[in-house]
Amino acid sequence: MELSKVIKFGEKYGDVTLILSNEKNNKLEFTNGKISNASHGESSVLEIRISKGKKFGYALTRNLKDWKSTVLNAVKLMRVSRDLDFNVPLAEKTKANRIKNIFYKRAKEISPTKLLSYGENLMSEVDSSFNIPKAEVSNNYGEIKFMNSNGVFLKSKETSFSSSIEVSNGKLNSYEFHTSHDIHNTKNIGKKASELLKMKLHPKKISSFKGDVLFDHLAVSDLFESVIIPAVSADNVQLKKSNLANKLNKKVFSDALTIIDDGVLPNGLFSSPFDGEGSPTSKTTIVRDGFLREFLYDIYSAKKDGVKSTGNSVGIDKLPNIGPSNFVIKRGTFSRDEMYSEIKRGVYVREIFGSHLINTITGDCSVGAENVFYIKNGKVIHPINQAMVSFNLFDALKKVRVIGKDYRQESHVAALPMIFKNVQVIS
Amino acid sequence: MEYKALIKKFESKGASFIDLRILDQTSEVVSTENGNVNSMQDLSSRQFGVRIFYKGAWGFAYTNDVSKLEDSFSKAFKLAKISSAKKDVFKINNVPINKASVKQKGKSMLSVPIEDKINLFLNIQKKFNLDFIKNKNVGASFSRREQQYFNSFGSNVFESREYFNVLISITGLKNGKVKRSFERIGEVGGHGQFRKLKFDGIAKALEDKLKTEFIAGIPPAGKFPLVIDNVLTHVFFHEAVGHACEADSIIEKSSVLAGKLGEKIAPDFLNLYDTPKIKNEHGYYAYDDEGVKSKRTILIKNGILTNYLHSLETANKLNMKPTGNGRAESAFQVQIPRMSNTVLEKGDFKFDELFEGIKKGIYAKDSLGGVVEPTTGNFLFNSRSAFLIENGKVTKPLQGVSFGGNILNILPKIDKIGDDKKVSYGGWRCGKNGQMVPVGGAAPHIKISEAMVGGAK
Repeated sequence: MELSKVIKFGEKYGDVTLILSNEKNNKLEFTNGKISNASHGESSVLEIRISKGKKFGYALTRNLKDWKSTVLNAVKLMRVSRDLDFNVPLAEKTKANRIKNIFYKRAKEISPTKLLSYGENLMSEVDSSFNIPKAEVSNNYGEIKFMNSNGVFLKSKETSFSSSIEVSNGKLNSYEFHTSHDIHNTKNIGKKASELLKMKLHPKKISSFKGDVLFDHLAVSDLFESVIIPAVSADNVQLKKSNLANKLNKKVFSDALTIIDDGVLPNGLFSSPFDGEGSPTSKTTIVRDGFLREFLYDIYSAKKDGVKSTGNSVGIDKLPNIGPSNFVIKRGTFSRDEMYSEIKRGVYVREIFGSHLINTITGDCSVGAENVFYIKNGKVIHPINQAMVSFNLFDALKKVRVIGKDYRQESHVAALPMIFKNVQVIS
Repeated sequence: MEYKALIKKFESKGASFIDLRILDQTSEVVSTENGNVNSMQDLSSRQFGVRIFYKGAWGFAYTNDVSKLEDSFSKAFKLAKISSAKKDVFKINNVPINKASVKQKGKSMLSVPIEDKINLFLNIQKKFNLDFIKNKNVGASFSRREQQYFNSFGSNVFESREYFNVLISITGLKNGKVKRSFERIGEVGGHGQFRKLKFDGIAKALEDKLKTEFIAGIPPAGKFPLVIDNVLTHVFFHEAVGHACEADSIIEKSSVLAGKLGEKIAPDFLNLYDTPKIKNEHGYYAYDDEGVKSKRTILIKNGILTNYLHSLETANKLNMKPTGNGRAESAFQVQIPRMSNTVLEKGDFKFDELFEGIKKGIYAKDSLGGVVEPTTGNFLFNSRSAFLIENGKVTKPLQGVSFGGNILNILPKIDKIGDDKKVSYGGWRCGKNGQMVPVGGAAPHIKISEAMVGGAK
């Protein structure tokens, strides 16, 4: 489709910003170890923003033939919208970043039979006494074209490859998954799920106590997404909905903590040459050695604070509209065994659930813990049935000292395991 | 090529079942905050989804480009062929054939000018007058879903439905504490149904709830008798029992209710069913996404587990009757067994009688969601608010509580069911396998003789 035609038509009514996304997806699903569904899909989405002065309207269509009426819908919404504090921003022409390792031709062009073999590999190392209720492999190719009335024209493309598997012994389940830009070794994913289930067998009950908790990657990632990311987004800071408002350049966390939002990280799951409103992405130091240094901005919120966008817009549908790219925690020095040996009495928590119950402003967390193991004198003693953990995340991060050194990124957070002290463990 | 001709073409290549969905969706989203519009969106889409069954295996393809439809048929067929060599053999032969066209009557909310909606929402905000309210949000989405369904057995079903979903939320700040109260309303219907909403009453109730939030005490932790309200009861049965009745989880052996058909799992006086046919409730539909006519399916009768919920695939695999629960979020996803509206039948107890004889207990209200481990049936639920029960009376307000346990252990502990069954109209959406579908339900209050209550949320 010819985007310049849409721009020209829209410019009768105001400035135009367009995003056209095309996606191709292949997916194989398995039930009880056998293939249960095979799918292929192609889809396109056109997003249109029309703006004039302090007003804008936004419309989206998946029916590209319908672009004219989509423009008119955006115009209709612009006309009834209220005035913003500033003029609606329009990205300026700049040089786009080049990001390494987010597109792999081999991950784009996987034949159905090849994908099937990745699926079989996924299940191949699972202990034969276990059932595999569900497994899935998929690959995805996406391209984005961005254009606006300032003459900005940007393109990007990326691939992703995902696998996930659930393993069960009829009583207990375990789940493992991974997403990467390139094809990954699915055998390992299945193996990990199987090993996790073996570790979980014969859980015991413990009584509630206060102690050290080693939160693994996935738990840390959930906690940061729920509390820290919203707290450093400029829109929340400006509305005083952030616990970190007015704390710029102050010590907010322990020395051990440095966090960088890195939109250009090679291989980063959320790396891209430009952000949701066409600004170049960048590296933003959020916290250095415990000191709060910068917030995440889009153009609109940056204007309010008299600074520059950090390239963290997540789309043209709202203003402001801010989100993280790759939220990278700086590597610690502790190996897994060294981390265990730091714990006299505590638990290892692989995942948390119920993160929607976290108070995202105050950082009060009282959540369910999944895949929990009891640790005594540096040794993993036994799995625990069910537990809840309760603590304040801001307080925990003020004291955190023990941080792991091996990354795992499945969401925006490039996470590391950490030990929080004095956590209430309810079982 | 015409749709039916495409189906014929691939049938002649050996496909034993084919279905095609053409889905058109249009929606309008408006949200307002503190006297201003903060976002508006207009969304539209056309989707084609093709599913082909060949020698015991499925292939599925989707597109939103009609010119690629024939290609999608070829792709789906190719995928089914690749899968067929590797799979369990079963047949799709029990397929109810329906020909119907169901259109929602009356004026559409999408034809109401957007200015009128904005004004309405800004006016609702003006109904909030408590001086400690710092933030007011009123927003809604209005959408139309029109689907044409064809299959190779001859079904040809068209259905259009409209949904409205309203969210009203207020946040208060008092003595350094921030509390929020919100109301979610979601129904199937157009303008005629929307204008029945009584925003004065809703606003008043929200202010009352917010006031209570500020004086709510810390709930105790431990084992207590528990009374839960209509909303929490319906959500509890949806999460803890309904999902375990979805036949795909039975086939995957990931349901705690697998192999329990015909067994007594709950007290004699407990009856539970799934029905899409509650007019205007969020899980309403006339036909499911496989062209099967919707009907009531009894899940628990007099305490005995009687049925599972099926898509065409699971019904045929397990050699049971389709129940009209094959649903998909969009034509870009395959149909899987899903609940519609989950209904717990009312019991004999008056509201006050539920609390009789409780020395110290908890009355939990309204849901903040829950988590259930399907294989074991372990669950954890969170209420939005709660009250203390002392000597048979509801006394102090408490913060929301979480309560947990195991479904097979807790069902027999339900000792009273209220006579106050109420439809939720809460605009619930349920996620499974990456697909969100609108669901609903109805339930009375219930009393559980003893449950593990986890203290503050």
